Amino acid sequence: MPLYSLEFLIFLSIVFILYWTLFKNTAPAQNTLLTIASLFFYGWVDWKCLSLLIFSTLFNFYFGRLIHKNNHARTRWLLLCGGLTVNLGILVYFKYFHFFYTSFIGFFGLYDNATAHSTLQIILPLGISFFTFQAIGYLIDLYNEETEPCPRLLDFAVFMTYFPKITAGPIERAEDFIARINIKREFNDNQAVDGMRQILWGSFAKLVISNNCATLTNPIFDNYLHLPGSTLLLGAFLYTLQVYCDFSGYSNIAIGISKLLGIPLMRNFASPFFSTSIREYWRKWHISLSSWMMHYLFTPLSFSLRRYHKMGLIISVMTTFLLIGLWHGANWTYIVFGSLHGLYFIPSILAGTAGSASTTYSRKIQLLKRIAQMLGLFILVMLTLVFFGSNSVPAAVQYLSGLFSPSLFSPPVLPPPAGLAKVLATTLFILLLFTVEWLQKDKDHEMHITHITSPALRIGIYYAIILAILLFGSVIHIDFLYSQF
Amino acid sequence: MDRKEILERIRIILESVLNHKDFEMKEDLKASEVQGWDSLSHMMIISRIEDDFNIRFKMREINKLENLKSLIDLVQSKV
Amino acid sequence: MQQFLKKFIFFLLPVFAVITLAEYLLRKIPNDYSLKEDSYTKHAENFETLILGNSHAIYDLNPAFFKGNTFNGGHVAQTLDLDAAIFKTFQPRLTKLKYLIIPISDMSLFFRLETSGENWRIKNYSIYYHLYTTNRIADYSEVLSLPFSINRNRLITWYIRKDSNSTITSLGYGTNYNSKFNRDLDSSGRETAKVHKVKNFKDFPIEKRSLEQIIASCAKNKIRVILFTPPAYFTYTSGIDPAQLRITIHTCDSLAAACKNVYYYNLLNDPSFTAVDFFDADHLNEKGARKLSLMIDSMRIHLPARSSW
Repeated sequence: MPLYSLEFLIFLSIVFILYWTLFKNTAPAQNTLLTIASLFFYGWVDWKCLSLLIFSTLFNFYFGRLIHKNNHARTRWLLLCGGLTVNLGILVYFKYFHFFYTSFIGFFGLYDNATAHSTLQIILPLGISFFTFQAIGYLIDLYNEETEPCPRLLDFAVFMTYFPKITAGPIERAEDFIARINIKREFNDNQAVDGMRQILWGSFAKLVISNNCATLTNPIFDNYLHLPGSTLLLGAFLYTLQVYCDFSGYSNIAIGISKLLGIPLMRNFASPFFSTSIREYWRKWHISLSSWMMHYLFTPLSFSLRRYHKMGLIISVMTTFLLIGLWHGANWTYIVFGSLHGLYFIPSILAGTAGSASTTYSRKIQLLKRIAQMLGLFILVMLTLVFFGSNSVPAAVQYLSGLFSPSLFSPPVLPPPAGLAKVLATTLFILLLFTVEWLQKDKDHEMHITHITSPALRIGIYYAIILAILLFGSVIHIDFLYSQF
Repeated sequence: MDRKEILERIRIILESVLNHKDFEMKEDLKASEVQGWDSLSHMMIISRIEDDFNIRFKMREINKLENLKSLIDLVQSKV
Repeated sequence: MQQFLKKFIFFLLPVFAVITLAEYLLRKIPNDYSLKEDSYTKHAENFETLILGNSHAIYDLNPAFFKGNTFNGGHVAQTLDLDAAIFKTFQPRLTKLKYLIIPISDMSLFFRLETSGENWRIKNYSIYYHLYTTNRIADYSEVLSLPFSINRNRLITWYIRKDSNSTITSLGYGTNYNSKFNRDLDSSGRETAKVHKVKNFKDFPIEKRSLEQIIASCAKNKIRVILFTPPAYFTYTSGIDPAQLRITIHTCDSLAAACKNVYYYNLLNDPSFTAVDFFDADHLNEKGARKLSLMIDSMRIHLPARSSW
């Protein structure tokens, strides 16, 4: 059931009421309901892989205890390797087996139609990248003695299966999340209202901006060979916003739902397109994934390669972002996407500094400089997302060749069903999005409007967003992009 | 080596890597409070401290660092 | 918590009221589905020939050119499983029915409305035909299945401009594909053939079974079933997936061979249909529909004799 479907609304209403009435008295009672609800949710969406989720939960809970109990360094190391092998093995099998298999035989020229039809088509379990990464982080934290083993299987089950975040994150660290759920949650009116605001904004981003962008970008990406560069530029721009609004919209909805249940989740997006450097961008885009990768991959890798100085850092960054790309999907396009982002870090590494020095330019010049940096960064990110949205690397390269051809300066041609009115309306909403994000950039989230003291104004804003969703939103089922990961 | 000298040498490294002076060298200073002190800068800083003080850290020690005080304590324990 | 719920419900009341009113008003607008359902209800006992199927039925066959009481029950994207459900619903009342005509195009056996990009149309079957084929709540609501901007336009068209939303004649023929607005046959052929190529054949067993159910029910009631692959322009036919076409023709041939009440005609490349007859590369305009209707009616009248079943 998609998060914005009536079925999910009914499900959430039932869980919310039971959670704060029949199950409200103790943390174990609340966690019992959350575990049952989460398993039900997962089974409804993907019943075939429910047993995998249950297995992963049980395995990591008990294996974690084994790691913690063992005091012998070498044995702990071997146990950790075993645990990581199982988790990564599951992920590689379900998500990447087909990709590696076809890439391998393609590389050796063994690919033909018969092979194509006989290749094993494996089901991709919902949220596998998310819950597997959470489990891996837990085992590594135990090994590094950065956390204690979770004392109750029930609490660990909530950590692994929690329905607001299982589909597409945020990826939480065990120690932080479990600390929030092993105490009884009391209903907080302000927190619940704030959660509703975040759900509303997330729904706006997804249903109005992302879905409408999708109806415009799909025909552009399907017909890129016949379209001028100006249209391809529009397509790339809209696709960037589509991905951003889809994912940030989902994250806001997930965080908002969790606030209704009294459980804060980590922020996943913090207006990344106002960043002035690629490093700042990745501190604000998919924060849970980037911080997970930095903590568990980049930091230990770069630490072990530090004797190679800048080259060590470059190798570490490239490895990290290549894997970030691969995490997104089993396709060379995602690998190129990630690698490009890694390459963007190299100038900063070679310079050996975090950023450019403070200057004594006038405020006007500084503002212009900042705008230029933001635009430049947006373009760099947009180019990588062409790979993200293409079926193959050659197709993406062809798309970009078409974009950077002389037809970039010819009038855009909008393939049906895209029309000028829809493009203009969508662009207006995108401008509205950026305006709100800019005004709210120092707040916890875009709809954190408690500083607006007039209740009438606040309610007016809510109704305006609902009206925008009703008038311009598309509930035609375009699934969340990241739920495939 | 006294703490003041360690603090001063770390300050020079921080300014060099972060390319600004917009932070106060107080003992409860955290990386998250300083602009530009991300994972990449952190590694550059750690690497420069090792070279500057001619010491070697362990990964586990780095993971346990909470603030500037804990970094100074760690460096002091190794020199 | 109760206070929060009260505030929240109170806040949403105007939204619910608007949505409920919109739902009520939308359902009251006469549309192709409600009009055809009304025709079934009032006149099913008189139908001698019934046409079912998808856009090839509604736009390619005009009952006005059939002899005898003929009704076109086709709808755009109406797949065989829905044909079977509609036929099953009204079959007890089709007491005079002698012929059932269903176009089987290269995609008929491979698409199911529920799993296709046109699945928003399912709400028409649940609301107006009372066929409950899915468990998605949006499929039972006008408001939830389409963007509100489209529903808003429908409300304005009917209640303010007093224009009809219907696109059919009283006998069920679709009037949208008028020769005045013919599409470019080259580009429409290429694009449509690409769209009609399925990624897999997972819906084939269900659609084939649906067709077999229709045929079996007709056999019991001495109704002859005429299947035909409708004509298409060469820009479309040259892009058809060969496997899809081969399976389509083979399935229809097999059914015609095995079932005494089934007749199949492959008119895909029939030379009688030229560019002037096509609205787009795989649908006929009103001229082509007239030609095809007369042809099919003539075939109907002169069906080869078979030993009774």
